[in-house]
Amino acid sequence: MPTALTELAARVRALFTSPSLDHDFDQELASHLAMLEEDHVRRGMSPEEARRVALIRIGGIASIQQQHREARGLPSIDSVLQDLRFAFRLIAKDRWFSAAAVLALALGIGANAAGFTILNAVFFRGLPFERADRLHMLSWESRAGRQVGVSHAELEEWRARSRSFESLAAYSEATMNISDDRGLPAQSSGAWVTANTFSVLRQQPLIGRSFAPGDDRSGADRVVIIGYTVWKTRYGADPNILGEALRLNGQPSTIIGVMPERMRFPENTELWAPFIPIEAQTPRTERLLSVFGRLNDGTPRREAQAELDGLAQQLTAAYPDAMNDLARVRVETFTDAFVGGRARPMFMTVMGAAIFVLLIACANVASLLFSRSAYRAREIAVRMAMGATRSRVVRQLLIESTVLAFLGGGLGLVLASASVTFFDAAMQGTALPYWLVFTTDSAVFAYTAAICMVTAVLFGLAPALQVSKMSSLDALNECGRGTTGSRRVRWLSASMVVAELALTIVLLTGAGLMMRSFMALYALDTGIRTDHVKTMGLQLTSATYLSADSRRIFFDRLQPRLAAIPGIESAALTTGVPPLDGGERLVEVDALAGASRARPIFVSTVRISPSFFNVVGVPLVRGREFQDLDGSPGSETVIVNERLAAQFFPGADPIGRRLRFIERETSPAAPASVAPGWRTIVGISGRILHGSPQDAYLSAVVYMPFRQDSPGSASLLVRSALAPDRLLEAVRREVQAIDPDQPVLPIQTLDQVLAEERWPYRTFGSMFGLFAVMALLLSSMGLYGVMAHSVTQRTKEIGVRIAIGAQRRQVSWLILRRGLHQLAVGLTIGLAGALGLSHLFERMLVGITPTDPVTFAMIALLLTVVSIAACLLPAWRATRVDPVIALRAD
Amino acid sequence: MTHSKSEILQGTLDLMVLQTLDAMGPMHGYGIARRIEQVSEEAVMVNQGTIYLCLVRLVQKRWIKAEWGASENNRKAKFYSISKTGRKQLVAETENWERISGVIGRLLSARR
Repeated sequence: MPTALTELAARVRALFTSPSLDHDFDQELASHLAMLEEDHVRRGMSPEEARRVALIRIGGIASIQQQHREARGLPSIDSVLQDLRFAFRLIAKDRWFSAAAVLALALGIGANAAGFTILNAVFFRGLPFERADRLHMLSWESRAGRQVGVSHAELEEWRARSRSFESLAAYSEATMNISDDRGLPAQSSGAWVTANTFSVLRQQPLIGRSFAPGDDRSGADRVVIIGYTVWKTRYGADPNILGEALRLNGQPSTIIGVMPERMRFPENTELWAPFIPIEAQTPRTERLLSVFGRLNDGTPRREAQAELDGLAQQLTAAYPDAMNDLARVRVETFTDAFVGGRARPMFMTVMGAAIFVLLIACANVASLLFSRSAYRAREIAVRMAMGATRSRVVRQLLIESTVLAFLGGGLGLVLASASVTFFDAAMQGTALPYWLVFTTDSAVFAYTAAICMVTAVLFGLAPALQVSKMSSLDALNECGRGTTGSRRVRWLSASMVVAELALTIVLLTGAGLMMRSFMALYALDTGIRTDHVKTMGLQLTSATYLSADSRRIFFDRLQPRLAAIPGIESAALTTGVPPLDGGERLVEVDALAGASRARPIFVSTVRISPSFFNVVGVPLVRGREFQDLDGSPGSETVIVNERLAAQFFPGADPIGRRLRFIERETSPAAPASVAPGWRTIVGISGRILHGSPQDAYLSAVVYMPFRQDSPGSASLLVRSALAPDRLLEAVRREVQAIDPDQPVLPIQTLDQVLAEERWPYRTFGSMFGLFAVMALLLSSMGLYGVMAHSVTQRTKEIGVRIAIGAQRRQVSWLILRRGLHQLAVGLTIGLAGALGLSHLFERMLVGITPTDPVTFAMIALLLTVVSIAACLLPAWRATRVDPVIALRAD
Repeated sequence: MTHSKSEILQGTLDLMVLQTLDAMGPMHGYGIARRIEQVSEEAVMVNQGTIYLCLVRLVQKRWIKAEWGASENNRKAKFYSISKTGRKQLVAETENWERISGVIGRLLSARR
């Protein structure tokens, strides 16, 4: 059919170039007329006579122009409008059929529109900047596959040697304190940025100036740009704010600009200050920068990737020690960099589920259309007898499908925007970057329209071809009953139902697996008593707290004050509020003399103050808790959990034994650099979950005293019956009594922390479940429809059977048998397909295997029950057939 | 698939145009119309304008190509020429036509 395709392409092209083609043809006709005239004049006619004859010979200019237009373009709008009018009339006439079809399509298309809205926001739309598609992030990937930042020295080298980017900029996110004479000190998310950041992004401040080249040189005056929200809330949108002094992390700085409301790059940032590396930030292994740049126009991403791969090799050759952990360099768009790892397959799977729902809806509507085809065939036969060509009939039927699809699509969009609103609400509080907005924009409309078109062909083409194929004479004679065509039709609609059932099985299995792992996650015990436990963040970001000693002193002063607050039962400091941890590290134990050394393992580390186990309500299994002196030089102690004890010291007493952290993975090329410092085990803790919430297993944990290398970022863990806001107020008072510039981050209950950590499972699990329920509804509706139709079709046959003495049971079995047959085939195909696809879920499941037999059995059972229920009503109706009426009916 | 009367006529005209262009080289629409009229002794074409419907179809199928040029009287005119696929099509259609006309010829002579 290539000729037909070239022709179609030419016709579509002609639609868009119509005016110029008209002009072209006018000229051609004019020269034709002139030549005709000349010929006639040459034969002796007068010029007037020649012109008249020429016009007659050519056959009416206007009519030729019109025919020419039709011949080169697509069918005229008029005839399409006529088809549309007819389609609408038919849809209004068959109200129930249309409602069922539109509803099914609305579910399918709605699921897709919703899925795409989310996908569009996460993957496609990108950042709200000019030519944002050229912006790329550069980062390292560690040998373990994790994303690693870039050091300042490496940024400088890339800047000097890379040719692929217009310019490279970098930022480092941090929580920043602002304090001034205007009110309470506040904490906002901020970013230390290179001076060219805003010019690379092509963003201008709302008022004031952007950073200038010298602003990030060491010794430059400290300047800061504030975000719109800070400007509004803290400074009352003061237009004279420029030049105002404030203390940023305790250092005097000057406000030079205010960013517009829609500009909170990189994530939800409200403060920007130049990145001026201090001594501690200069080593190559201090990779705290996120580097990004704008690719040169015309430079493809892979070219930049190749260039940076080359530079990475040079760096590895020059600094083997610093490059030891790194596998490769990544050049990727912002959205790709942001949605890496676990989230991507989640989004993709949900979108896949939406497509399944759509396919099921299409099969559903197609089987409805097949059921109707006998009835349509008569009408179509009349039209064909009156001269309509087959292509014209197919076109008419496809226009009907398209109208149905767009009606379904319209309703689907409404459903989609409602569910996206719901999804958006579910995502609140998960700290999404500001540019991730779930809105129904033009891309979503375009996608939905495209889906509608595809859907119309998908469910409409086969039935349309079938209807138009039924020979016209047959259809007219048979009055559409017991026809030769109807066996084929019955087969077609039955296979649609089988397809629906099979697709539903796959979807249900996926949903079942997700639900089961979701339940496994919820059933998971964090091991602690969460009642009355609340947590607040505390970040010592100010320049006052650069040394670990200064931080230790702050926390040493804070703890007795917290304990003294009336209404607080107990309070502790930690870096790992369960079920979180304070980072994974590789650990090894000191072997006993003569024993071989055990292989190092990864453990979760958590820093805690002495009262931690008291607050969470989990007493130690053995040994002692930390005391005030633990963590001081000479008493480097740790507490480990039972899991670690079982791993390293099976059947032995761990208390008194020693362990230490290995800072880097060992490799044959470079011996591991080992942080010295053995730490002595003094206690064994009970079961408390630390780690990422996806890791349902209990990992090995090492607790370290908070006083040793006190971190700047801590969580206060408080057991208290006080109302959250009163508690927060009391804690804030104590904190600011020590340091008036130090803010406290908002308060959460432990249950809130837990819910926040589990949101992907909650959200995606319920979306998946919703899609599966839709699929089940659709396919059982489809099965019911086909069964009910077959009872109607066979009324006469059933009547005869009953008349000659068939039992009611035999009659209902006659109907039920066909349904069970379809169910059996659908189940077989579906289960095979589900098994084949189940490995896709592997990475998302918790606590169960992708081929979990219980899930598979439950799903098969569920579908069988629902399907039999869908067949029962038609089967029962068959037994109610009155032979007298049935035999008379026609 | 049944062919309507107009479809058969259309196919015939297509064949004539292809044959004409193959035999005579590039020609403008008026020239093609004149040529077919002369050969068929004015029997085929009622309206000369019809030729353009045929030409636009053939161009869209890429069987012929169109190009602006100057006529013998130095008038601006669109010249049509047969393409490689057009020639193939011509061969196929000619064979087809000969077969059908042979069959019909035998059929009709058998009646006599």
